[in-house]
Amino acid sequence: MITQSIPILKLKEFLLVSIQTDLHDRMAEQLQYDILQHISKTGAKGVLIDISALEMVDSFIGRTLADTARMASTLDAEIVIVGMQPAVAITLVELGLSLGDVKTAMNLDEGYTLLVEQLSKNGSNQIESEEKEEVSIDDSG
Amino acid sequence: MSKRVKDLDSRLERLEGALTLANTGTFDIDVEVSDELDFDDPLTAVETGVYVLINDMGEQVMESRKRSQELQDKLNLIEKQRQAIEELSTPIIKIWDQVLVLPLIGTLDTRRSQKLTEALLTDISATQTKVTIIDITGVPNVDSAVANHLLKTVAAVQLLGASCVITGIRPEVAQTIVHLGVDLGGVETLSNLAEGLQWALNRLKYRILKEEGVQ
Amino acid sequence: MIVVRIKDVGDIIKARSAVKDVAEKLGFGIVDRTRISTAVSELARNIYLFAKEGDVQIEELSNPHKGIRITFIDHGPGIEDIDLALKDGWSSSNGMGKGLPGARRLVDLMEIESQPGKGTTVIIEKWLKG
Repeated sequence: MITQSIPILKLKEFLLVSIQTDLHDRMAEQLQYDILQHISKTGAKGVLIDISALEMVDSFIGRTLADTARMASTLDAEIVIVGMQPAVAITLVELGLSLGDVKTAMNLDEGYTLLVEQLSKNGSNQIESEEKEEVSIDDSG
Repeated sequence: MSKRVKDLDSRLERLEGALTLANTGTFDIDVEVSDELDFDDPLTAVETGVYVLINDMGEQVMESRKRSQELQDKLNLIEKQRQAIEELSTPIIKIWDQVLVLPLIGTLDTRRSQKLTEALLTDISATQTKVTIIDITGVPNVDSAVANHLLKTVAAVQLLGASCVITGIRPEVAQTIVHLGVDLGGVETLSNLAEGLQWALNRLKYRILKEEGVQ
Repeated sequence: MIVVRIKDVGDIIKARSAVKDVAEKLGFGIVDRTRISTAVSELARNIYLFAKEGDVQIEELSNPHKGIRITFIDHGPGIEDIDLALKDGWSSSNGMGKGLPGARRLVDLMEIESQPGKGTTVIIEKWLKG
């Protein structure tokens, strides 16, 4: 099977990824690799991943996104997941999946604002190493 | 010699037919046996008795069907009212630009929690609202199940990229939560709605100033 | 009944989109459709990861519940300890251990039959609620 690749666009110091197709596991892994390569090549400080067209996020895609965010932060880049559909958010929570400390924003404008704020807060070359507790959700009841 | 019974075969057949129908619950028969009732005919009395009886039974069955229909209508009405109360009890109110309030009243079970989470998220997404205040002043018992429902709702709101604060935590609720060992870490909580609004406005970088020196 | 054969990673997408179409036709709302297709994604992936190949059968339910039933059949290694596999956080693959327990939370019924060395059958149902 030919693995389609998802375009990664550079916009000033940030990268922009818009997932417009249903992702299978290999595509998600490829996307992770591509994003990290682009961060490393361009020195981008932030990545906006628009998932508004994604109709579902299962444990594999969720974990890949969360891992990518953690990996990116070790390359001094922040990832913001933008535009998650309400049904996808509800299902993810019921699935018991936490995206950890991945930042989310409602739309590209807000995601961009969040990255700019983060950038000015972090200073220039400081790697953010803040570890946040994950909100644990158990399923009793 | 006994009296002669007229058309015995066809009348017996008709009687049998009417009884069979009645047996299956169909009572609409033509009670008029014949135009001229011949009471000298011994079968006429039997026929009249049977047909009148069947007719009465039909009326009674109709009546009881009507009653059970009325009862069903009432049950439907109660179910509709229950749904209406459920909807009315979880309004989503916009109290400020970019601020929604969800005042929870009553108990919070899985089904209700799922429904209101769906309604809230749809609303947040459609209006692109940044801050949501969930006020639980009207929730009588916050046990670990209720707390878990709330945690899930908050987590889902945050996944959309919106912020969420839980307000209206009464002292006894705070005690229960700690006693039950429920971890509300990571979820913003405040004691009342007024503080929640203040929190929301701070988050949106609004500042409310009291005008000084006005006559 | 619709059958989707799972042999390749891309077949997981085929299974969930077939299920989503049926669920939409049956009148499931957006959130339930997402729950169903996510559960299917998890379980179809299990077939792909552990058994390499298998079938996903999709059928309509009418009695006693109206809804959808999806059956996952494989002749793979089977599950040694189903209770353990249903435990949160447990996983024998490199997944997050959310596959079975996560999928179970998204549906109204889940039944698992498995024989080590012979294969596994998982049935899930989602019901339309009035």
